[in-house]
Amino acid sequence: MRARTGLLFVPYLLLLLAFLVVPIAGLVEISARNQSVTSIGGVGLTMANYQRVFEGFYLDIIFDTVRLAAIATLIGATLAYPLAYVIVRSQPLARTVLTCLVMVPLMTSVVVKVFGWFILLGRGGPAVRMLQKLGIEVQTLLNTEPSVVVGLVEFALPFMVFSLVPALDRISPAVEEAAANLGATPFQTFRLVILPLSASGLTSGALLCFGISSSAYVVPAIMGGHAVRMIAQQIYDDVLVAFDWPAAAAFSIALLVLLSVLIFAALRASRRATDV
Amino acid sequence: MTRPILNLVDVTRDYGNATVIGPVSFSAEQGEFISLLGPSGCGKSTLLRCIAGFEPVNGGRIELNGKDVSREAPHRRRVGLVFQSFALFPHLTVARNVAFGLRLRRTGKEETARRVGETLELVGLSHLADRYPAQLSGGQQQRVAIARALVLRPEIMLLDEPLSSLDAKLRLHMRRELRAMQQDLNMTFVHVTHDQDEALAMSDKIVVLSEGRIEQMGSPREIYDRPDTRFIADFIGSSNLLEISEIEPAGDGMWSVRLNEDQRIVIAADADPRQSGRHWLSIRPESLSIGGEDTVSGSCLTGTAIGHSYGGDRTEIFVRLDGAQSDAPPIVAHADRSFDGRVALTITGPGATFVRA
Amino acid sequence: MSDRRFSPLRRLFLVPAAAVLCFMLLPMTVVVLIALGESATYEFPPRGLTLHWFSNLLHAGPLLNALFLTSLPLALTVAAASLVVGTLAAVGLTRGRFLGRSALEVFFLTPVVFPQILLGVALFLLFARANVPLTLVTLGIGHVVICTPYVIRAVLAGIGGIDPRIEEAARNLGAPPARAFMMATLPLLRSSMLSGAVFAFIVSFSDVNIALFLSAGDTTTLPIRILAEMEWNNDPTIAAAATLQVSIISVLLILVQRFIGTVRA
Repeated sequence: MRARTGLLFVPYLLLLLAFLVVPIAGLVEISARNQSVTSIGGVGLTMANYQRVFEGFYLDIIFDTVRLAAIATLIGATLAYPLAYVIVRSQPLARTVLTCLVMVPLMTSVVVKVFGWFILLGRGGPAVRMLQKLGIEVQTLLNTEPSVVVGLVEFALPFMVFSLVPALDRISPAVEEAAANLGATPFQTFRLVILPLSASGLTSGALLCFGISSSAYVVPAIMGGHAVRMIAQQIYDDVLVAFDWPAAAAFSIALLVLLSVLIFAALRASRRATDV
Repeated sequence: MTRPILNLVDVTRDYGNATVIGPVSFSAEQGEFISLLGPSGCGKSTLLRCIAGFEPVNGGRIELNGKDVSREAPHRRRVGLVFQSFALFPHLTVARNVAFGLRLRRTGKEETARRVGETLELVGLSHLADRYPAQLSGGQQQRVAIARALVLRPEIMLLDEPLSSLDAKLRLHMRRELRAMQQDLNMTFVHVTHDQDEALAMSDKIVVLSEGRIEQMGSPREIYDRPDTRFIADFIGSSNLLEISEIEPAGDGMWSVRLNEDQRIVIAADADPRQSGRHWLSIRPESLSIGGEDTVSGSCLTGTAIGHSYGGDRTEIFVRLDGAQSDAPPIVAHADRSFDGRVALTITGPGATFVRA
Repeated sequence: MSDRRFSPLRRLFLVPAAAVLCFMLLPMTVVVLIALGESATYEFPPRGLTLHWFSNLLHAGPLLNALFLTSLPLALTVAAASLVVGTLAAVGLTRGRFLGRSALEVFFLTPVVFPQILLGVALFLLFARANVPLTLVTLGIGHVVICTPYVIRAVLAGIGGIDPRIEEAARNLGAPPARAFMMATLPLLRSSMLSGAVFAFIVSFSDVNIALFLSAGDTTTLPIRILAEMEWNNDPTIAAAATLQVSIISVLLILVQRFIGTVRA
């Protein structure tokens, strides 16, 4: 019985092997090939694609991506804390309503949200008209780094909120009262008690947000236009426009390694922090 | 008279339409150990939280050392609080938990170290200074919670059911230790508990609360020996409560009491119980001496022993009084052996008092 | 909301939290308002109120096809497949006592955190090199990979909340192991399975990153269609389609919350 029911997970295991592990292995393989007009998978064996990744053009994209994702993560974490805290310390009914209100943007397609920003910040949109009334002449607020950051923050925020909520939930209200009783102002309580005690949620939320932001395609593609280029845009263009699959593959693997190193480092750091 | 260190004047607290406290007034002198005692839901913890500032008061005022602190934020009140759950900071070591309040007051490094060291010594935890709360036993955690509050030298200490999360043996030990510590420091302790034994054993003064109001206030002995009401007599220790149908003066501070056609008894009382509306009689089981039918005399209660329960150092005898209503609970008396059949109950101790309904 | 409980920080955070919530809901609200406005362009703030753009949607072939012929049937099928595969996997994980069980659990949940864009590329290259044409099936496979973890997570949480003694009681009453599970445990998992399936549906329904690479021509999903049209056609009908998308997701989420209780995504 035990042995047989244990096998119930095999279908999904096979699915993951065939359509997650094998395709990534394929990526690794293509990333080590030369681009070729005769064979779509590329030919030969080379490290040239990885060399290209660390050259000017691609390297700039990596730096820009890391920078924008880091800024978006930082802003996202700052904005998410008050909301997550209010959710956790609300009465059950308010908590349910607030949870639903965060859940909807979490699950809504990023396309719809970007559509909204496109109307708000784009040509002839309300934001532009308001600035024009103030005497500031702009055609559009899109196609700038700040507009991309706005999009990334809004995209990543609900993920951050839902990472913080369980961590904040574990903090007993009595501990906050104890801090106040010992003379801590509300902000001191936040800095000295709530922040350190929710560090695990902050770390996992930040990783999630960074991962989402650094691999985002739709936000930079629509809100950044030609002014901003992030990794996912370049991968998309290499695959579907330039048909330079080896370059796209090498770039993908580079992104994957970057994120893995980051996650590994964060896990080690948090393990050391909780290892008491 | 010295000025009380803590003074509550007509304090009320309500949630919307429901009044949960008050009005409540009491005060505490320097060095007094006060217990707020009552069943769960009586408002004793809420009252403590009002003093600490976690619950706003809707009326009246709370004075600390002569200063009205009713509207002051919790972090500005110099009130130490030991939480029921201890509420230690799980991410800080014992020493850093204790140093927390000093850090907020920007105390110098050396002084902080010295005071933390002294306080940990006082609670006997010097050897565990570098441990985290999760590595400590319940008793040790409690000492940290006490040290954390004491190190700030608060004007008063509040303790919210501090012993209730400890096991029975440790609880008895900590009772003595807390009391000794309080007396050594000559500090005012306000202690919330639902455990009457605890309140009787530790306190200088007990404030009994029921449904948000003070039912009676006094020394443990006063509360136990001279309960004002049926509630107190029943809640503190155990008591036989009998409704009186007639009271007549019998001279010399004695009062002749008639319970029903068959039962008449003489009880001592300083004041006329009729004037304070005391129409119930409370008799402690240990103040009833029980004898066979041959011991019936002029002033005793008579009845039939209907059962007993062995309790080690004593035996409880259940007696149905003659003329009692059929649904009335039997009288309980302590004896050193079991009894059967007709018995006589004589009052021997100080434990018979007139109480209000 | 009464403030019975002491929390000055909550009071301080109330206004910032509300502002953040508005920021999060702002772009979606704009899209909905554009869809309800009378203007024939993306005019904001809108003037007048009309359902014209929703009825206009019935004549907008590509959007309509993307919704009714691709996205909805795809998401339903993916939800059903994920439900089966995911429930089996979750039950297998909790029943089996074997080495590496927790590692396997982590592996099973990786698609949630794995960059979807990379999975899209990898699958695209895999199918291209194997000469597999891109159809709803290939797109569906990609979606089942990213949706199944949501079912697994919901069912694992459900199993965790069930008293194992219930199944032991069934066995004590004479049910063989498989029947004890089917009769005692499975019915209690129904709500977890349902909420997992709803999340699988939503994830498939709003996915862009996989579809970006795996949908082509007549298998274009609604999000991809909106993405392609919104920049170039200044037409509120697109906003109406997007509004429909948001509404379906919101209604599903509210139903899950209302009838199944809080499930974290």
